[in-house]
Amino acid sequence: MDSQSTAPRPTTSVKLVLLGEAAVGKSSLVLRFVSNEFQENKEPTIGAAFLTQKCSLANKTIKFEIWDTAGQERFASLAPMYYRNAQSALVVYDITKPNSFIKARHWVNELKAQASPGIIIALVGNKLDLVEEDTNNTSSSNDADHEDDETEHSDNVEDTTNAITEDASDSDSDVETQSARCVALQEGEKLAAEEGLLFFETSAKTGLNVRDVFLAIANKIPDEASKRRGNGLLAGSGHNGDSDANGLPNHDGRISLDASNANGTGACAC
Amino acid sequence: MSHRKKAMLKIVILGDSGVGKTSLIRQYVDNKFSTQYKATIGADFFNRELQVDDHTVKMQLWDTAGQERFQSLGVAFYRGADCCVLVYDVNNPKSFEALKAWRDEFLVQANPRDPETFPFVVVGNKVDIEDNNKRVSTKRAQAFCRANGNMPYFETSAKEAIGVEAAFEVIARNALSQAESEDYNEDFTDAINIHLDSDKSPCMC
Amino acid sequence: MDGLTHRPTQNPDHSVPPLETGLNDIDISYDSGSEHDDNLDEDTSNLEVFLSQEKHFFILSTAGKPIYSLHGDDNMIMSYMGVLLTIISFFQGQSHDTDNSDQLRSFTAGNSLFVASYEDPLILVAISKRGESEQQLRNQIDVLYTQILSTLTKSQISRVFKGRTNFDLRRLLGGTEKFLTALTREICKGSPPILLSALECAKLPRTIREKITTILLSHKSPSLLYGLVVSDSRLVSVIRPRKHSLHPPDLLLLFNMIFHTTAFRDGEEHWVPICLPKFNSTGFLYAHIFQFSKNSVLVLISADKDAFFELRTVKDNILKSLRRDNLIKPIELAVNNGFSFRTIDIPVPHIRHFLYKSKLDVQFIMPNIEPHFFPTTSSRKALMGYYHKLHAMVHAKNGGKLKMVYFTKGSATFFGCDSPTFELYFATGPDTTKAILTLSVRAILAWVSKNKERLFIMGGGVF
Repeated sequence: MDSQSTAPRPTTSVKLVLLGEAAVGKSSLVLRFVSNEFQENKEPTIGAAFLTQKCSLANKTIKFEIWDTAGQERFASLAPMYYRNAQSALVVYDITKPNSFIKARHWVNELKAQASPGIIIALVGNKLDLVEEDTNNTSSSNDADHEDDETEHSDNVEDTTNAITEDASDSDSDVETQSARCVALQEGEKLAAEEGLLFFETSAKTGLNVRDVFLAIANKIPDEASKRRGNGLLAGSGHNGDSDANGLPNHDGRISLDASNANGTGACAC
Repeated sequence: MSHRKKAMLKIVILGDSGVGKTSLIRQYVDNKFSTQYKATIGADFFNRELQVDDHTVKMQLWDTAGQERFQSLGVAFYRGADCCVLVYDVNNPKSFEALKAWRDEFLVQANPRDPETFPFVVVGNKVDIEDNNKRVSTKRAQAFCRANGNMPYFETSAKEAIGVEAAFEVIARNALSQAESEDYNEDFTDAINIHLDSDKSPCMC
Repeated sequence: MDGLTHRPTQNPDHSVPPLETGLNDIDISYDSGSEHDDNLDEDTSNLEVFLSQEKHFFILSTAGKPIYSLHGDDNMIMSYMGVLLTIISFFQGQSHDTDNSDQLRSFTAGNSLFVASYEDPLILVAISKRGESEQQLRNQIDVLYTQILSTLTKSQISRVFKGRTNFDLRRLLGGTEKFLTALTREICKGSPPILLSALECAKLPRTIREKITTILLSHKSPSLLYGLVVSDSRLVSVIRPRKHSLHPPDLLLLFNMIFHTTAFRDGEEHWVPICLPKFNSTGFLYAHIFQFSKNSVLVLISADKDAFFELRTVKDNILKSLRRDNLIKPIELAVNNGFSFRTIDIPVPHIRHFLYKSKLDVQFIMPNIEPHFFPTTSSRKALMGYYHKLHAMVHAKNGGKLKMVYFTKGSATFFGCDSPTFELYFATGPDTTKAILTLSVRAILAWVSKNKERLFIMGGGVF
């Protein structure tokens, strides 16, 4: 986080919505990103929560405006309200719950069909901490908690007796973690490749890869904006007359990616 | 902690008395919380939990008495069932012939949305008794099942614990698809039209 | 330690009888001494524990599928629901149409009272061994029913069950079981707002409340339908349109969701679809909920689901003004001590505790249980039990405009009266006379009248 630059860094507001089946960890991902915390047994979200979080990049600051939506069935038809003007979305599934992956696929389809054309979607397979074979992913989080230690040791359990004493208290969780994964990494990668999505597997619990997801989105945003500017798709949202220091349109207001507002008469036909 | 609710399935067990409905069920369920009220209120209730693919389902089994005096309770017993099990005794042709009537009665009282596709499962019980004495042949039973909506057919012996597990697995599976058959893509956000300001435009949109 | 326990007070003006052992009830049995929750610690798979519970609530579909149960796990209750449905159906006659048939409303079995309510396609049953009246139990299950309505709306429930009597409603209630649990927990403890169907307000000087209300009104925006400042389930201020009022039973649900669970008190802004059943049971309103201080919440309600950002600005402006005018502190102080006054602080001699409801304002006041009674859960529960008994007695259906009852139990006398404009219940010493009771009633009424602008929200901010 570079706070030394003398030139004021432009702040871009980016609306982000989290979608996914209930209990996949949407709120936990947000909590981890916004407060760097994790709560066991977090209660289901009712309706939606709105949070903001700044993300400092090398040459700009992104202010995420985040809709953390409830995943229960009864809220499904409310989703358009949240994603309608969103520039980005996290579609989250639980890698130990195959149904949640099917649901994620539906969300991706819905976003492609109904959300803004240029919406940046990140497919996120969460709960990596429940699975043993995450030794290839180096954790970027500073939260080296108990759970983390267990998963690392479980790989060594066959090797030497030295590890056994450390594992003694962990035997139950080892048995659990071995076959917990139900959605293969490749499946997620495949869907992401098919649909042109960013893809990450994360653990909100340990913090693994969480920040990376948001950073990746943050990094993608200006690219999209300048592409759109070139294509003239922002025509009509003329109230954003200001430009920032780099000549890019000031995104502090809500960008309407829906060109139909250009009519100016509103929806009323009378 | 899983927030996902386990699927709750209502399974109604029908058939002439004496065919072994209760033994069949008892063979299968967790007896701890079952009731024994059939003589007084016309039904007994049992439950059992099991896995169907990656769903955990709880089956609420309604074992009803066939008696006249509980006839009026048919609607209450059958309403909202996810699957109906028709049981007969393979050594008792009369109980087999009664199946059609039981099936029809059920459809009338339960009034499912789509009677054609409502899941029935037919169980021929008491196969433990020697094959020579078997009065309803498997072939005949299967033909009947095919002719009446392709109902799955099982032969069981509650006594010897033959076929019971297999039968209920299919019952659970079919009941589950009945329960989850419709994806209600309804609009759950009924809006209330409120006009707050007296100077709001007369447009009603 | 059973029932209520008294302890001596220092105030020489009131002749409080010396401390004795706690009250021992004769007719009414209560869970004694348990400080912890009925629901949380029990072994849900233990049949004996299940059967020994004093209160039960069951909600089931007309097919007999469980929707909610206070006690017991699924395995235990599945059979019970079947039995309940069968018994109920037995009395419903032959037809599918439940409107025209005889419906079982209540019955007694041993020392248990069973009460059933029908809100097709739901059936609600309450069972109690506490001597509560049928009316009280029916009111309790109505509260639970409205909680389900607030999550789904009546229209949606009907729609979803149409042609689908096998529907498992719990699929749609995901995440809201805790609201039902919190309600039943309050009911089991003995809840004044539920008993009286009335609200409690935070006690504030009139001028302070007016300032807060003025701020709310000044920042009102086009989509705002209702604005409320609430502290610890007590209403601080409310604004509403002239044509639309707020109904206490609806607010009870809202306050329960906000203050008896942790769903909304995490410092985040929430946007929640909610149906307020008494206002309109067919559709959703949308509530912006934000906790701005330790126990205080700002609730902004709109009929427009897209109004979030507009209301967010309203919230920012309101909070800015409240801070600028130093009103946050008074709000916090108003509820800091739980109840802000005690009977010994007010001129009501002989009164140890009371519960007063203004029928006109649909609000109640209740002082701190101290110092006459220990502030324990069991003590409160026993006291509320007596008030329930009094309530049942004065509301018994045998005519009369002004009804008064009283009885003595151990070292206290309990009195209750119901009039067209108010209800009053109180506890006083054992050696009381009719004259003292009359004086006590007058004293309370006089004090309430004198202080009503501080005690009640009268009218509220209207636009």
